[in-house]
Formats: sequence, structure tokens, C-alpha cells
Amino acid sequence: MVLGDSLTFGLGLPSDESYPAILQRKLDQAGYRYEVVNAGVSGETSAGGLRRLDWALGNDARILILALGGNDGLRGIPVESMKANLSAIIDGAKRRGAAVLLAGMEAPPNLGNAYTGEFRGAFREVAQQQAVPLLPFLLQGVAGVASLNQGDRIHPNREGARLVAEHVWRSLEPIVREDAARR
Amino acid sequence: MIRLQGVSKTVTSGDRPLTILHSTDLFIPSGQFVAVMGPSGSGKSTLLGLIAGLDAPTTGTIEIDGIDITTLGEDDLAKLRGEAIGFVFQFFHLIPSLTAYENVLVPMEIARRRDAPRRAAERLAEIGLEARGHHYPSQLSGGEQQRVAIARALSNDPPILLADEPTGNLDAANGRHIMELLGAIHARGVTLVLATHDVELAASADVRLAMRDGRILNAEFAEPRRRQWSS
Amino acid sequence: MVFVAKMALRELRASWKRLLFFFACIAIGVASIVSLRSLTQNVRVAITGQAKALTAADIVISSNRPFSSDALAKIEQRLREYSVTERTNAVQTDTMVRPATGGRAVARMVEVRGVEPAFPFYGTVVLQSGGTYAHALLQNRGLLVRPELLAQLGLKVGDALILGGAPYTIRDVVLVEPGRRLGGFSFGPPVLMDRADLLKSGLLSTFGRGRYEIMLRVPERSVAPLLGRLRRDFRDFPVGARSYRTNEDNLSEDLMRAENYLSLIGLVIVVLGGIGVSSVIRVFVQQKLKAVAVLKCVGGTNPQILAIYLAQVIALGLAGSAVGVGLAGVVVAWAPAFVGNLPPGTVEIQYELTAAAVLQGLGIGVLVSLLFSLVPLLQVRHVKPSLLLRETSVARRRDWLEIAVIALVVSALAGLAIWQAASMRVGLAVTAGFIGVTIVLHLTGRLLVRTVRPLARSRWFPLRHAVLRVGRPGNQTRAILLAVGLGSFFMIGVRLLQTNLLDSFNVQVREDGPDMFLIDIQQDQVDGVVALFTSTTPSLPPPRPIPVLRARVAGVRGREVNMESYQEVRGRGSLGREYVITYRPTLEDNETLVEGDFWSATNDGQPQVSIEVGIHERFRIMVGDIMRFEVVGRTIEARVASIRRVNWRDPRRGGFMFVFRPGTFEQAPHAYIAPAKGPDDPSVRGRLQHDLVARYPNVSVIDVSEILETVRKVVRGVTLAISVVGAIVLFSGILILVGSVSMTKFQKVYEAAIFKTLGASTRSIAGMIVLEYGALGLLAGAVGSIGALALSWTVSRFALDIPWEPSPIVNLAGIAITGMLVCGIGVTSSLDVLRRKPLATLRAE
Repeated sequence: MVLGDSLTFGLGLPSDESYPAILQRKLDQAGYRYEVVNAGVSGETSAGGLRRLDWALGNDARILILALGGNDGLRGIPVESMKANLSAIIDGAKRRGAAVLLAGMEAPPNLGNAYTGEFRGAFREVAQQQAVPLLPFLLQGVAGVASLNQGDRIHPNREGARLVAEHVWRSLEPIVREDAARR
Repeated sequence: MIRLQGVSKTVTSGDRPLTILHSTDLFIPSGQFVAVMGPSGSGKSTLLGLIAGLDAPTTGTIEIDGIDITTLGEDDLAKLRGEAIGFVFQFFHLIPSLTAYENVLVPMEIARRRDAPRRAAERLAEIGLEARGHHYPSQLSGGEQQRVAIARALSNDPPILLADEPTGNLDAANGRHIMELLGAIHARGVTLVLATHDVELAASADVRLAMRDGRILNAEFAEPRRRQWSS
Repeated sequence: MVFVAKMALRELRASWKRLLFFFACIAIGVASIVSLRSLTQNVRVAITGQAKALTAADIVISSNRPFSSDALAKIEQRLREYSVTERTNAVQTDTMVRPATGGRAVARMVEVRGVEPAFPFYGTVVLQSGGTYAHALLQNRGLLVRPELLAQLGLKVGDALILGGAPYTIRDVVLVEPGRRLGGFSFGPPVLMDRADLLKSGLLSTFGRGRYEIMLRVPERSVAPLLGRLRRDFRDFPVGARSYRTNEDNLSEDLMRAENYLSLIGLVIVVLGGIGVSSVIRVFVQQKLKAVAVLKCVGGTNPQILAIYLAQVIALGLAGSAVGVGLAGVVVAWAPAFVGNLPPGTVEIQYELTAAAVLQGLGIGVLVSLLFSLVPLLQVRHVKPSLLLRETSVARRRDWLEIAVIALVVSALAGLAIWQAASMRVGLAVTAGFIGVTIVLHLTGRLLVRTVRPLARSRWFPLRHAVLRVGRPGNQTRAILLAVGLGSFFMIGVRLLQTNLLDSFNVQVREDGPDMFLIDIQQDQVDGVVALFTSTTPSLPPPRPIPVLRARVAGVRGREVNMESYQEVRGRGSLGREYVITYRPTLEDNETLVEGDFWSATNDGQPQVSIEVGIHERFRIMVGDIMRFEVVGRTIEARVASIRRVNWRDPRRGGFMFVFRPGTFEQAPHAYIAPAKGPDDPSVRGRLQHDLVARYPNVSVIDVSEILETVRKVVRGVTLAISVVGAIVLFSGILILVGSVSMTKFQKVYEAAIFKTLGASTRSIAGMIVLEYGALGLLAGAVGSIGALALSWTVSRFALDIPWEPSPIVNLAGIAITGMLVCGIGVTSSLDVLRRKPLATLRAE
């Protein structure tokens, strides 16, 4: 289960080119029998994600990749509010017995160092408090590289999505292995 | 010279044809005074209208000074009327929006005479109305209007003058005045055709034609040159 | 020629009074045309000015990244080619600001724009202090901010604000800022600063998101070619170019519509005037028959006589046009009083007569005088001098010359119509309507005479004689039918159009319409948000939150839609894109059901969806089809239960391509959006927004009140102008009808007097007149009314592009009023005869 925003949804890409779709293929190739559910919704903020957690998660979700916050950053929503929402989402996932991988986001630098610094710190703090693994920046190595993004400079293109999937896979694979061993 | 050969006129009255002038032959030499007599509706006006080219005959030819006017088009006919034929109506028919002077002036202007203004003034003087030239027809008496109409008819010195009951709408005194004017004009050598039912007026004519029901019944020739009105 | 001129003058001297009505028709027509033209040209100049102020430049080249050196070199080259020398750069980005003193919790997002000294090329920056804007205000770390930001942060002019980690001073408050895109989607109020400061702030480092612009001042004739050139140059690059003309928002569309409509009205007024002219000339010729016969008797030829009357027509047309121009001057001088003042910095209109309009007016006045007189005047050719010997009616024959002249007149009118309405379609529609109605009226006249003939044996005197009068040779039946029928055709047509046009405007200027949009309200916050509004503004209707979800269409009838290519998926036309959906039990005011039920009484438990007619047309999806949706991670199959049409011009309730039957998504997680009407007082408004964001940080507010206010003012002015103009049409139309109909009285008066001599009572004569005119009026009104229906439909549909609704009241009222009007005129114009002793009338004749 990937709970995210337009980056997860794969805005501007065919649905089988989004990074969750690529993760699905990787899982299949590696012989794991998991189904990846893309619960990415364009424009979604951490507040929205919290409210649709129950609907999206259902009862049989094993692993939650939490990739929200990007829109909070674009809109300049107070960081405290985002932190509270992320924590609540992780609490909910834990209650249902799902493992969580928190994917960090960066606020665009034009919002000023004060905000971006605080924003970046928020993901670290949440991961520490909740003791969940953290992928420091979902778009690591992709953001800001023209050849990996679409014209709007926000959303990764095919190649960008492939790199994001690689990047997520590196953090996801140990969790999957552990989860599969437990079953 | 006026020559009619086999001239007839048929009009449509309601749904059926009505012949208002039966086939007529007539010859009027230049300088003659012809009176056409008969009751109202006998065809006098029709005959005069045909001679003046105001109307087209149903059959026959009409020659004015050797020209067959039945072959002429509307505009050529108008030109001929303007220069060769004067016409005086029972109801004057001055143009109400023009002054007396302008009514006399118009035919000359149409004929493009350079001396039109001077001649118009002369014509008005001849009929004794030089002082009233700036008056509109509605401001003139019937007799005065008819004198202006005569001045207008003569403005281009036509060799032929046709007068349709010119005194029919006037009292006796005014009527006499008009006849004196016409007599003077005839005396200048103008061919004069006068339609009237007044026997006294017709008495001085060279030829008197009697009409009834669209036919010329007889022609009566007067003793030559007896001019009782032009003493 | 001298003779013709002299005769025309002499005639005019005597008969100008009878032609006074002619004069009035032309004067009214020309006055309308000249004032409408001038006003629309004034408005157009103002709108162009405003459009330039909206962009602050002629052309703006923009990119979401700094211009590469290649791109800059290309641009430089093009600017040299088109000899553009004036340019300035600007850059825009979102950032967070907070007061220099106080906690960081009050940080706010703003949309900051950095400009250079040459900014703006067009428009003025209006400051609250009343001072004049100069770039010096921004230098040395100065900021210009919006009043709402001060309210939100509790600051005042002179306070310091931290932006990009450094302190800036608030130098003044901006009320109007040229070049800021109205209605753009932004999460914070605009702030203006020096471009150099913004670039130095470090906010726009490699990953910083900004919008880079090059603004140009370009000679007018080069705007379009340069724009096209640049667009071709950068087709495959993330560089865009727009000109001030690209501002194709709703407002300029409305103004365009209004302008087309007003041109059309000008044309209609002139044609109405022409109908009056034609009636006058018809009667005038009747009265001049004897004079024409005399002229022919003394040698006048047809060309000469025609020339005399045409010269009179031209002289009168010219004089009438001149008076019309004078009238227009008065109207235009009064215009500001009608339209009122618009907010500063928006549209400033200079009201004056334009030379082009005056020349056009004079030309059209004379042309229309000529065109509408020509056919009736041709009748003088058939006048026989024998008329002077015995009374004969002038035979009306159509000969090749007359037919040729009619063809000429019709094509000249069509040309005039196309030119004046500035549209081939409208021009042709008006001309076709004119010809069609004329032919129908002719046939109706004939049919009427034939149909009522049996009634001539009626034993009721007024009816018997009314029928006889209608059918008599030389009657005025056709003249009245034509004038009245064409008059009512145009007047009712204009009314119908006006009703439809104003309806389409009114939708946008409703005072109670929403002026702010709240987005991303979460389910558990809805009640609180609504409560906040009702406690702040108890008098206003509370916001009505609309549930929204995002969904992707996964398939239709088993057809997988995500097999489409990458390009198609990106394009808006694709079914595979993400849609915002909602659910509700009833249709909104701006929706109409095209097919199916919304919703049917039976509910078998399967999810049901209603689709917009556009989706139905583009993808051929029918009622009964099964569509598969992916909604936040679940797949839902829904049956298409109905097709709706959304009126996209009505912004009140938004528009959705897919609306679901309640029952499917209540349990699904979804957010709400809420169009809301906020308080008008800016400080109350600022406080409300502040409270809202403080309490519900994830809720964003988009405030459109200022754009709406500008739109409203302009549309209100335009609406008023249209109503006033509509009234002018009605007034001049009625005037012309009154004139045309009373023109026909001359003959009737005489007859009425004879009837009286023969012992008919005043009452039966009045009854006769009422019957005759009443029947003709009703008949003409009916024909005109039906024609008007067709005209308004055609013009709404094909020229103004507005929805068309029939308004039967206008039609029926039109017919009734026409009937009564004609009847009234008939009786009034015969009043003196009815009252006077018969002999007086007979003698006067």
C-alpha cells in the first residue's frame, strides 16, 4: 500500500509507469507475492491522507509506504500540523499491524531556509519518535534534474519514476523480506 | 400642322373595354384655330391629350409637323411637348410647390434656354402678372392661375397650343380675359385647338368640330378671318 | 444638372414639412449608430488599455526556469528583427514571510514578484497611501504588500517582514498591480519587490521554483507576428509567450458579445429608420403624382424627374444625418452619467465621438435614405401625363429595371448589414430575416384579402366596409403590413435577444454568488468551517460544502482506457486523466437532465453515475453502460444512469463531469470544497481568513472577490448600456411605426368624410377603422413575432454564442402591443375627421 500524492499516483504518466507499478514488477521478479495498491491522490496533503487511511488500508495491508507532505510544502502549511498528521497515520497503520516505511519530502527552497529546514527536520523527528525506517527524500537524485522530470519541474518522467522506484526498493526490500519471513 | 389618321382610343373600364374615341381622321393646318365642342365625356379631352402626346392612341398615327409622334418614346415625346406643344388645362395644374414665376420658368429650364429668367419675366408681364411672380398658386385666384398656366404653356414659343376647357372653371369675367389672351396668341400665328362647350367661345374659331360619344359628328367652317375679340 | 439641383431645392422649400418625418427617421437612425459606434470604440480603446494593464506589457515571454543562454540569444535575435528595444525582466515565486518580531507560528505564504525599474510598461500601480509608484520604493529592501497580508499578520506600513531570511520594510500597500494574472491559482497574497533583491535572496537556487518573465513593449503591428514567431521558436521548450490579447477571460468575451450586439442594434435602428423612410417616400410619391405629370407635360424626362427627387432624398438624408450626429454628441456626453464610475486602475473610458463613427453615420444615413427611397421613387416612371386629363390610378408594374434595382438594394443592404454587424453570419441572418419577413408579409396581405372577401357580405356595416377597404385597389393594406410587420420583427427580435443576453450576463454578476473558494476541507472539519462562517457573517447564506474525490476511469464496457499513449494521457481530452467527482441526490441549478434519471426510484444497490454531455459526446458513452473507476485505491463499477448538461458559464455551483448517486462514497475518505460568499468589509474578511487558517491549517482559501467586483462593475455598465439601447430601439421603432401608419391616413380621411356625408355614424366609422387597423396590426405583429423568434435563435446560437431560451411573454406582448398600437394610431389619426364636419374635410382635399 502506497499512500501518497500526485508523485505516487504518477501524474502525467500511464498508470503502469508510476513508481508503485514498477515496484509491483520488482516484487514479482523477486518472487514475492505481494500486491501493490497505488493509493496516490493528486493534491493530497497529510491531513487528507490521515482521513482516508481506513478506507485505503482495508484489513489486509501488510506494509504502508507513507509518501505524503509534498503538497503541504507547496502550500506552506505549518510544519507542526503536518507532523501531527504523519504521526497519526503511522499510529493507525501500526494498530492494523502494518509495517511502515516513511518517505521524506523536501519543501522547495524558494519558501526560505527557515521553513525548508523545519520541514526537512519534521520527517526525521517523526521517524525517530515512531521508530519507523525513513527514506530521507523520496525524489533523491531526481528532483531538480531536468532530464528526469516533466516540463512542470515537479513530476518525474518515465526515467525519473524508474529511479524513484529503485531508490524506494532499496529501503523497501529489507522490510518485505522481514515481513515475508514472518508469514 | 397636325394630322390624325385612323386614331382611336380604348380604355379598360372595370373589366370590359370602353372605346372613348372612335377611329378619327383629322387635318389641322398651321395657324388655324379649331374649336372642339361637345358635352362632358364626348371625347374632347381625349382628342386633345392624344394630339399633345399626353396619351398614346390605341390605333392610328398622329403627325405633328411631319413627325409621327406615336413612334416616339416617353422621353422624346416629353421633349417634343416641351418645345413644340403648349397645353392649358381646365384645372390649371400649376405645380403647387413652385411660385408663379418658377412655374413659367421650368419648361424653359428643361429646354435649357440660356435666357430663361428674362423670358419668364417677359411672359409674366404679357399676362399682366409681373408683380405676382413670387406668389404660390394657392395665393392666386383661379383666373390668375390660368393666366400663369397659359404663360407656362407658351414659355418655349410652341407653334401649337392646346387648351382643354380653359374657362370651364372660371367666372364669366375671368373667362373673357382668358379668351382674349388666347385670341392674341392665335393672332401671332400659333395653331390653337380649343376644347369647350361654350358656343360663344367657339364662335370665333376657323373650324368648329362637334363631338359626341367619341366621334366627330360634323365640322363647320367659319367665314374667314372674322375676329370679333381682337379689335 | 443645374436644373435638377434648382428644382430639388424649390421642391424642398415647399415640401420639407411633409418630409420632416423622413428627416426624423434618418436623424434617429444615424444618432443611434454614431453614438453606439463611438461608445463601443471608446470602450474598446479602454479595454485594450486594460488588457495591456493586465499584462503590463505587449508581450510577455515566460518560463518556469531561468532562460538558458541559447534561449536568450534566440530572443535577442527576434527582438532585433522586429526592432523591439524596450524590455524588462521579472521573476515570481511563492515563499514564506513572517513578521520580524513575534513567533514563527504566524508565517504566511505569499506570491512575491521581483521587478525592475522599467516595470510596468502599461497600467499603474495604485497605492493605498495615494502616492505615486516608483521603483525607488522597492530599492534598499522595500516591499509593497496587499492589505489582507497586513491584516493576517497584524502589521502596518513601516513594519519589517522577514523574507528569505532577511528583513525587508513594508513601504506601502498595493491596491492594483498591473501584470499580475487575475484569477491565477495562488495560495498567498501578492507581494512586490526589487528583482535584484529577490535573485540575491537565495530562494531561487537550483531547486527553487520560480517563474521567469521577459516583458516587452512592441509596436502594435508587430505584436501578432512576433508572438507567432516566438511561439514557433519555442514550441518544444518550456518557454511560453503571450500578448495582452491573450487575456481571453470571461470578461473580454462578454464585452465582445456586448459589442457585437450593440453593432447589430445600431444596424436594426437604421433599418427601422429605413422602413420609415420607405413609408414616407411611398406617400410622398402619391402626393406628387400630379406635379410629376405636369413636369412630364412641359417636357421633363424620366431621368430628370427621378434625379430631382433623388437629389431631395440625398439632401434630406444628409441634413438628417447631420442632425443625428449632433444628437449622438449629446448622448455620448451623457454616457458617463449612465455607466457610472469604475474602480480606479481598471477601465478608464474616454467618452467622445470618434471621427470614424461620424463619417460612418453620415455615409449610412445618406445610403439608407437612398436605398429605401429608390424603389418607391421608381414609380414616378409610370406616371402618365394623361393623369392631368382624367383621374387614373398609376399602374404598378414590375419591370426589369425595378427588379434590378430591388436586387441592387437588397445586396447593398446585405453588404451594409455585414459591415455594420461586423459579422458575415449576423449580417446575412438579418438580411435573410428582412427578405423572408417581407415576402411572408406580401403573401399574408394577399391571403388576407382573399380570406376576408366573403365577409364583405356581412350585414354589419363596419365589418363590411373594413373588409372592402382592405381589398380595394390602391389600398394601404400592404404598406401597413410591411411597415408594421418589419418594425415588429426587428423590435421583438431585439427584445428577445436582449432577454437572452442579459440572462447570460446576470448569472455572472449575482451579488450573492460565491467570491471565495475553500479547498481541502476534511470531513471532520466541515461543520466547524460552516459554523465559523455563520458566526462571522450571520446575514449571508452559509457555504455549502461539496464532497470531492479524485477518480481515474479504468474502463468502459470492458474497454481498458489506460492503453492510450502517453500523449493522450497528458491531454485534457483523454478519458484516462484524473477527474474530480462528487455525489449528491439532486441536480444543481446550472444542470439540466439530457437523458435518463437523476436518480431513479429503484436502487438495486449497484453504484450509479451521471455523466456530463461532453463525455457522452466525446467518448460515446451511453446510459446503461458500465464504467469502472479507480477511486483512492479501490475499483468501483458504476452504471451510467443519466446524462446531464452543465452550463459552464454559471460559476455558482461548479461543474462535474461525473456525479455519483449518494450511497457509494459516504464511507470513502474524501475532502470537501466550498464556494462561499465572504463579508464585503475587507477587515472582517481578512480576520475571517486569518481565523480559518489558524484553526484549520490544511484548508486553503482562494479569494476571487476583487476579480469578481471588477467583472461585476463592467458587466453592470454593459448591462445598463444594453437596456438603454434596447429602450431606444423600442422608442424609435414605435415612433417610426406611428409615423408610417399615420402616413396612410390621407386617403382614409377623405373616404371617412364621404361616408359621413352619406349618413354613417361616427361610431360605425370608428368601428370600421378599429377593425381594419386592428386586424392588420395583429397580423403584422404575428408575422413579425415569428420572424423575430427565428432571428433571435440564429443570432444567439451562431453569433453571440449564448444559450437561447424562448420567452413567450415577449412574443405575445409584442403581438398584442403591435395590434393595439396600430389600432390606436389609426383611430387617433382619424380623430379630426370623426369630429369635424364632413364638408370641412372634403373642402380641404
